[in-house]
Amino acid sequence: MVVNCKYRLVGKVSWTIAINISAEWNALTEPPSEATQLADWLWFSCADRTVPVEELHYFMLGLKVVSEDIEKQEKGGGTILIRVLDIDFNPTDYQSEGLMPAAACWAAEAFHFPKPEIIGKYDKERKRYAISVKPRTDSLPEEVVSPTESMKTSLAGLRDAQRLLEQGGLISATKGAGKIVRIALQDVARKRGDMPLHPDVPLPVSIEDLVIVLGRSGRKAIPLRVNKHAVRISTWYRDLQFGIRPPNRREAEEYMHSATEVVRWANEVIQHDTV
Amino acid sequence: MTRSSRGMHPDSSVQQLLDILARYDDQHPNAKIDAYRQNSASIRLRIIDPAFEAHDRVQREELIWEILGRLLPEEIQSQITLVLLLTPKEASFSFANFEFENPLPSNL
Repeated sequence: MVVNCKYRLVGKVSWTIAINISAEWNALTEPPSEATQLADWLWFSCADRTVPVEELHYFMLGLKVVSEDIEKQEKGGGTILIRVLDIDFNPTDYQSEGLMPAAACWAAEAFHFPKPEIIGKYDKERKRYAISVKPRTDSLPEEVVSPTESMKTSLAGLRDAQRLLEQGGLISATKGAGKIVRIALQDVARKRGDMPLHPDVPLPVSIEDLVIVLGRSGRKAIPLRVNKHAVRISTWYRDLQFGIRPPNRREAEEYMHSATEVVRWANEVIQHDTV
Repeated sequence: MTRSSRGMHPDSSVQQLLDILARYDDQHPNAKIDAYRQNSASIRLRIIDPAFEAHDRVQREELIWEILGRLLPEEIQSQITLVLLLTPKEASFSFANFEFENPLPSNL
């Protein structure tokens, strides 16, 4: 089935990244002989041999970022081959990394799931757009509760993640633990008044930004030992949240240990910090 | 062997980090080490090394933090907010690497 997608990144500056993608996807009974494997069941190829390798990597990364959404939509359990037929763009404002969100948006159209939220910020220093994808798992909780209440939920969630790990659910356990760490650090920042309680005000959504905010708060900083655990979670979670490079058991156990250390610290702060 | 920072003139903390990692670089001639300051409170580090193929994520971190913990002042260690340790193949398909290469301007 051929699907055409027009991706546009329009910012406040005078240019727009415009990429048109024509690609097809097919369900196969057997893995294809000439294609790149992106997941157990997902394969990729490009009919246009002139597309540079770097650009293909950006395209494939965009598909990997949404591969779990594709899998949810295609429950047949078979093999899927995505084959790019044509990539067209405006050469004057082109940035090859724009293929990452463009491919993710193509997949959203092709497999009928909500498009991921693309973050495109103009970087004055580099004179180009900086592009990222905001994962849907990072959406704000619908109901804002107090940091103390939220922490109780986080501690319970961490126990659930630990159980998942013991049952062999390495990916779901680490994903869950990463999300809990982020929420726990948000709770500390809210408790300390570093972040607004109002849900309309944008909050730092990445663990990295939260660590920075807490380090600047002027209150007791995150101890270096805990900080290293938070850095591990922050770094690994960027790929794990999209199912990229699934962890082995040892990695998952160490990740869980780090998550526990960070959440314990956050809990202590919330219990004992005076506002 | 390369060690680089995004800026033409990296600040002293980033430079100190890169200088210390020269010890790793000397033993891993195919490693590519990059670091840059993301904002006034944050330094990002990436090492792409084919030798990481033999190590999992935990072992890679142990290798690097052993050097940093021994030689880098704690005040600089505490500014490190991202430690990305990848093989060249992993780097091609890593969203974390994409964000390292294309950092969003910091609002913090």
